[in-house]
Formats: sequence, C-alpha cells, structure tokens
Amino acid sequence: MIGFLITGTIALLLISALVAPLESLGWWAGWLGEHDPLPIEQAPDVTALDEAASDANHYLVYLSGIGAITDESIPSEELDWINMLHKRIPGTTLVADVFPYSVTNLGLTSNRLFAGLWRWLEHLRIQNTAEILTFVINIRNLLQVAVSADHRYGPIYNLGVAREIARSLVAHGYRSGSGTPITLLGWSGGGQIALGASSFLIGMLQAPVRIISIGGVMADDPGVLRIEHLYHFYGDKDPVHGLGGKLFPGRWSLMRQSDWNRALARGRITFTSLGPIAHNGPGNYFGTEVITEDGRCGAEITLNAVVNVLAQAGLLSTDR
Amino acid sequence: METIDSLFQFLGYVWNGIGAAMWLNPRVFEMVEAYPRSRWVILAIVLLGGTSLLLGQSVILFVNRVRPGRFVLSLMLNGLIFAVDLIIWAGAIWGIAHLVFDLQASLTVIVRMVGLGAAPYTFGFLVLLPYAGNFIGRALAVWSFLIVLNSIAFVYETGFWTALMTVGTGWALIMILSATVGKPVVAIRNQIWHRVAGSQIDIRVQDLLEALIGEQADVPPVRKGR
Repeated sequence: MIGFLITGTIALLLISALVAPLESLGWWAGWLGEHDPLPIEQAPDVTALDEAASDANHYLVYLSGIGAITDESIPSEELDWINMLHKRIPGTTLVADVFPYSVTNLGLTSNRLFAGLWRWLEHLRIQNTAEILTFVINIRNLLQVAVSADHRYGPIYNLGVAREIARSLVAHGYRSGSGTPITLLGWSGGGQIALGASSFLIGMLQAPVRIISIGGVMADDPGVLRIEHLYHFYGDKDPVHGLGGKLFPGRWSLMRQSDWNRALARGRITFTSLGPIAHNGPGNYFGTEVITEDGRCGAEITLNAVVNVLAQAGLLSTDR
Repeated sequence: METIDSLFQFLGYVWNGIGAAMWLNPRVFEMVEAYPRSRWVILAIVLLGGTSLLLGQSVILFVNRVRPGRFVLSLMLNGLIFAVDLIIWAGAIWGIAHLVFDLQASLTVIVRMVGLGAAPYTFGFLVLLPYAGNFIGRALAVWSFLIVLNSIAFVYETGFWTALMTVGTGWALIMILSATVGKPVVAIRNQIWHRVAGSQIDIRVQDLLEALIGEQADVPPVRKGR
C-alpha cells in the first residue's frame, strides 16, 4: 500500500512537471483559444486610465509566493502584511491583483480543468486542515517558477506575466512612457517571476523598474542587467532563498560572465540580512511572533526594510 | 485475439530491448547481431525515440506556433527522420571501419546496432521537464553514444579507442557532408519539415528574447527616475 502511494505520488509529480510548461507554450501558440495574432502584437491597452490614481509618483506591484491560489486568495498573513505596507507607502499606488503563476492572470479556481480541485484545496486551507494537501498548491506554483527560470520556456512565460502586470498597472492609472518608477516586490517564487518579467515590462512601459525580493529564489535572468537595482532581503534562518545560488549555474561565482555575476560586479544587486527570520512556519517574513530580543516580529522587520529601501530611493515622496 | 497477443508480445520485445540496451547488456548485442528479425524491434525503438525526443524538445514547435494536428504529424515525422539519420550514421561508421581500420561486418548489422542507440531517447519526453530537462537531454545523448560505442566495439571485436575513432569519425564525416555535398539533401529534409509543420520552424526562443527585449541586455533602461 505504501509502495503504491509512493509510486503514485512520484508519477503524479512527474506528470505535473511535464505539463507545467504547456500552459504558457499553449498560450503563445494560440492553442488556448482562437489562433490569435502573436501575443507580442497585442500590446496591452495603454490608453485605459484610472484618473483617480494617476497622480501616484511610484507604483509597487506585489507578486505573491507559491502559496497563492488566485491574486486574492493568498495566505492570510501575507494579506495582513500587504495592508500594513499599504499604509506605509504614501504617494505609491499598490498593485496586488496579479496572479504571477499564470501567463493569463487566471487564478487556479477560475475557468480551468482542475478548478474544482483547487477550490477544494482552498477550502481546506481556509479551514486550516490537511496542511499536507494544501502543499499541492505550492508544488504547482513552484513548477511555474521553474518554467520562468528555464531558458527555453522563460521568455514566453515571463512575457505573458509582464503583459498582465502592465495591464494591471495601466488599469491602476499608470501612463506608459511617463517614466514613473515601478517596483516589483516578489516574495519567494515571486522574486523569480519579478526578475523574469522585468525585461519585458521595461520595454512595454518604457519605465525604470526596481525589484525587491523577500526570500526570493532567483535564477540568472537577463532582466537583472536591465533593472535599476535588485534588493534581496533574506532571513538568517531561511535555507530556501539560498537555493537560487546553488541550483542555477549562472549564479555560481565561477560563471563570471553570467548576467547575474555581471550585475553583481556592477553593484546592481544588494543582499541584506533581516536577522533570525525563517522562510515558512513560525518566525517567517510575515509572521507576528516576536523573534528578536528587542520585541520585533518578522512582519515588522520585513516591512521596515522594504519601506526604508523605497524611502532611500526617493520613491515615497508625495510630491510629483 | 491472436493479433493482439502478437502485438503485446512485440511491445514486450521493444520494452525489453530498450531496457537491455540502456543497461549496455552484451546479451542484447549478441541477439541483435544474430537475429536479423530484430530489425523490426529496433525500428520501433528508433521511431519511438525520435518521436519522444521531439516531444521533449517541442518548445521549438510551440514557439513557431504549430497547430495541434500538425504538431502530432511533426512528432511522427521526426521519428522517420531520426531513423534515416541513424541509418546514414551507421553507413558512415561501416565505411570508416572498412576503409580506415580494415574491420569487417555486415552493413545491416551495423544499422541495427546503431539503432539500439536510440533506446535512451524513448525517454526523450523527459526533456520537457522545466529546468531539469536540459540536463536530462544531455544525459540521454551521452547514454545513446555509449550504447553505440559499446555495440560497435562488440561487433568489430575491437577496443574502446578504435571504436571511439570509428564512431566519432563517422559522426564527423556526416557533419562535413551535411555542410558540403549533402546540402541539397538537408534542404529537401527541411522542406518536408516545413510542409508537415505548416511553419518555417526557424524561430528560436533566443530569437524571441532578442526581438522582444533587444540584444543589448545590459543597456540601461530608457528612463532613469523621474
């Protein structure tokens, strides 16, 4: 029985991994609907403008970690943290309606073949039961991070996500070509998605883009040479963020000519430790448990670090 | 009923042949050398290998926006093209062995032996895996080469280095011929490809990247700040 379960699990994992690139490839090839013109020829609608928000002098796009089911259905502590962040960034329009694990911004519970399964898992997560099963969500999204980091599939996947980010920014009042700075804030897998999408986003909106990674697992992506700066925050008790430096050869120090190492040599990447913070579980980046001797929690430490970086970059001024 | 039994028996031979070849089992080389009828099993392995490999590398079909029906046709065509490529390689190996090293063997035996080298490519669909697929693709290529190397050493009863020279020179010869007198043949093959796929199949992912974000990835963004 146990052997059957293990074999079945491995088989399911393998099948999941094999089909992981197909959503983005099918989207590009026009298999998911009408055989449309190339997605690149369909520029996002940059004329739509939300006048109410167009006086922002900075836009911040939040890209969730691999626990996200839709743009709205994300772990509750992340939601609380985003609300706290919103109050601390005057003059900035916060965009948090992009689901970074789909090239079409289609949440897992939307019109999909296995939407029922994802709704059931979402229900389990809300009930806080069967945590092991909700881990399936993480695996599904983790495979999309691998697609983003893969040099064969990455350009297509990242283009799709960049289009959705651009579309959302415009819907929030961003004016293409205005030069208004954009910050992509990616947590965990969202860090890689932010980096992957950045190259395309810069081209689409003619905008300066910064990336803030919170415990992000990132590959050697050409975007790292195009962005203004990459700020990577990590916890000393977070073994996951370091996986990027081990798994992706372009980040190994001996690969001196890789995009990552060239960006590093030019001082475009800053690593900052946030102290004794873990990736998941108690004491994580968004946790409210006290983890330092002076009584601070992970959520507060992370929040202060992000706000400080934005302030130092002069992005929190309300003056236009 | 008998036909179905025969089919399953045949599939069993194919499966066992793949397994034995991948374990570099000398027994499989003996059987392939001794039984000409093994050619059908080997042909099946080659067609499966070619189809599976292109499935693994199907990003090229997706990038070029090949339609679903033509996608399936392209996979099957790749099986056939793969078979022809292996036969040509086998011919080159046989010729080099005969002319350069004065080694004697039947051409059909060499074709069957080289065909065995397609066994690892039946797992070529695994190249589709994100990130790990690249590594798997390289591992399968090395594995395939080792099978061909061992089978050639077995047939000619020769040592590792002579087998390596024979197989390697045969491969180099094909490369040279493809770039010179074989160009018209390559052009016809490509033409068939384009007809079946319904696309030029000439866009690479790297081309896309360069077209979309420009070749100079390290050029600073257009505007800096406000």
